[in-house]
Amino acid sequence: MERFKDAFYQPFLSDWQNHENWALSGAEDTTQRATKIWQKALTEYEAPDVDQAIKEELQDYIARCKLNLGHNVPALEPVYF
Amino acid sequence: MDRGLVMETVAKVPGTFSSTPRNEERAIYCGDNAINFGLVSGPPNVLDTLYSNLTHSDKPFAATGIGAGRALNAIAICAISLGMPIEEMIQKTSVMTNININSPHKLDDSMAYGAMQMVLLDQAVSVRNDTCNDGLSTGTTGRSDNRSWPWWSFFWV
Repeated sequence: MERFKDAFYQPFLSDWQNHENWALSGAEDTTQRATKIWQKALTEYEAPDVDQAIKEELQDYIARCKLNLGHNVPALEPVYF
Repeated sequence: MDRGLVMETVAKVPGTFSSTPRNEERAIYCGDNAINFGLVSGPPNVLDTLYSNLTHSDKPFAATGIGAGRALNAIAICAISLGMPIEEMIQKTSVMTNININSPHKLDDSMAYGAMQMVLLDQAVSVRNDTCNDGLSTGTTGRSDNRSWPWWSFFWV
């Protein structure tokens, strides 16, 4: 028992109570529990700091790739470095 | 494929490694008894997904690696986000991919080339037997219940 808290991963979405206790505590289904989780995640979300120049470079690269799509792009065979 | 060759090659795989994203504090350690939870791979609209992974998050990510070009795109985009030329991604493991071996145990050219491209730039690849995972081995990579952990699975870095 002393290792129980650390030895196992406890899921944060699925409810491991028995059916009676689950019903008594509001009978929330997985969709309802998941909705609360994503809403909380969205509220607490903080965008990471990304340099504007890097964002532009990424967008340029993606735009160039999209232009070539279908013309043997994405390539099948590897590039050696 | 010769079994001896396979075993000899698999023996070269490092036991542990770290995948380090833009924010080095978010690096994840793979191997030993570590369990990691990260971003999924394989959604559609791949280039836009890679962009989102790198601008809305600073965690390590997994990329679709079917065909060398897709793997190379993921590594190239990661290199841009790290502000380094793609050649320097060697020794800087930041991208992971998973190759699902199809039923009936066929490794096709797209899968093999995707894995090769990752390895050529020292990025992490897992190769899994899809049929042991109900066709969901990519999901299993990140699943907590360990219901159907693949009977063989390894990383090349």
